[in-house]
Amino acid sequence: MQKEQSEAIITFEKVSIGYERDPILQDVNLSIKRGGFVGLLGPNGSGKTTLYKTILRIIPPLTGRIVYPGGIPPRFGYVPQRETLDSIFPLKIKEIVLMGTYGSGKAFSPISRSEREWAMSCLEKVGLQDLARKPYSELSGGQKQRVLIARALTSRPDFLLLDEPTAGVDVMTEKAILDTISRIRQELKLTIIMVSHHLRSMREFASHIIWIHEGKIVSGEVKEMLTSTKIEQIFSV
Amino acid sequence: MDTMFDMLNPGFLLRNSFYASLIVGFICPLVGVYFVLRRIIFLGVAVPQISSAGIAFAFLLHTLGLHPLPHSVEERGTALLGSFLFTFFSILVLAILERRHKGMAEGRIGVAYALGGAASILFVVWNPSGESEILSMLRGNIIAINNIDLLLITGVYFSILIVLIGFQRDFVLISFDPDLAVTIGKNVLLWDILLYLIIGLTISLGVMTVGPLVIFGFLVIPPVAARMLTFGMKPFCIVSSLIGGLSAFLGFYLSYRFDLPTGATDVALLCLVLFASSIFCIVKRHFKK
Repeated sequence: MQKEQSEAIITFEKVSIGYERDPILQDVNLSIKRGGFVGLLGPNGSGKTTLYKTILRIIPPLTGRIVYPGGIPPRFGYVPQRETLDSIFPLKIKEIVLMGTYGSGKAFSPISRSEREWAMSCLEKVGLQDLARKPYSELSGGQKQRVLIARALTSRPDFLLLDEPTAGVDVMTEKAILDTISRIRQELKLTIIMVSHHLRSMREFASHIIWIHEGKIVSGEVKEMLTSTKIEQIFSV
Repeated sequence: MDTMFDMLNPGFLLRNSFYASLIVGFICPLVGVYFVLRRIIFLGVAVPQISSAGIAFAFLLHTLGLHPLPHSVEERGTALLGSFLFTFFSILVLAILERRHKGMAEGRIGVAYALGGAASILFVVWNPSGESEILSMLRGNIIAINNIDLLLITGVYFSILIVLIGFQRDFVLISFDPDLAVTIGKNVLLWDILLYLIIGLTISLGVMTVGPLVIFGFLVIPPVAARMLTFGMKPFCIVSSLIGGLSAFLGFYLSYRFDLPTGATDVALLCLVLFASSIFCIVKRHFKK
């Protein structure tokens, strides 16, 4: 995980993260390789979401430095847990997917035809182009997750972050979602961080692991991180 | 039918009230859409009450010799300023606490409602003069709207309409997924403040025009009914606005024709529309199965 900074898409240098001056993780030194597929593991409440939101620049770091190549942050694509989005909004799938283009759109002017076509092509990448006019709230969990992946792709990201995209779905759907993510990553040459609890799927899809346990971060390649000896070591931290 | 022609005649005696009623009816639901979607409906009860307290407070200051505005716009201008400031700051504080998930939301809103009501009464009681006039302004008096009031309502509400249409995508985004909004470079706090400013203006002017009960009705009932009938943000907003506007039109007609209080007739009609929408929704669901 500790690679040359030139290869890194983002580097944390002695960063403390948390809310309202209350650090959850301290002295974080971390470097994420461009093009990697990183699994972010850890028990509930360990600080996974806080780290994820700090990477996304939703929460500013309390102390330390976050370094980007050339000083410019990458374009982030963000896939939240589907339960965090309220189904009271009467949104159609295409309206949700188009949200990814809102960063570049101008007020008082409609979304351009090219942006609409791009959004539809992102929906096609996740296999839901035929459902564009359906209400989002009527979709299954797996379909909702795909819509949110399409929305993230619409913002043309270099770096895709997914928060437990396979939580609460059956094994077949989990496999289908992960296959889609893996295919899209190769096609668009994306860097990916995925928060998950599933060691099995991480072993299959991720290239690196960041494991948070009791306020400490351990990271490395999958083959060295997901061995029984290493897991025992992590739990005895 | 003659009554209808009377109302549509430009020389109609109560034309200002009729036009103001239609403007409130068509535009308030477009603001109310965000009350429903952000699940802050009860703010719609508490905030108009606080707005009333603002009116009473402004009159109290005025009576005590503090004149913040020029003489020509003093009376209603002072009331509007007091109402707006109380509304804006209360909604800002309540909404920030809501976003930060501090304490119990229902408790806060209940306290705000009770405090707003109590403060209104105390400010009126402490005011040595003009009690009846203040009470009329606190309840709203749509029949007493003059040309200047109508001009003010038209100007402010149409400006609100333009901002809501122009920035609809941003308001929906920050309400639906504020984290995504930050990720794609939006300043969520600024957009939130702009939305609260719009809500504050709508409520403070609406309370003075039609009163707290009616403004709550127009803010909340049309979007709740439209939510059952539509999908997609545009249809949702358009149907909300149509329900509000047409209820205001019919409510004015019925109140003029049968000598009923306009505000109460409007709210009763809105509730009928809501009831009909619920029945339609149940029947639709039944046939879908």
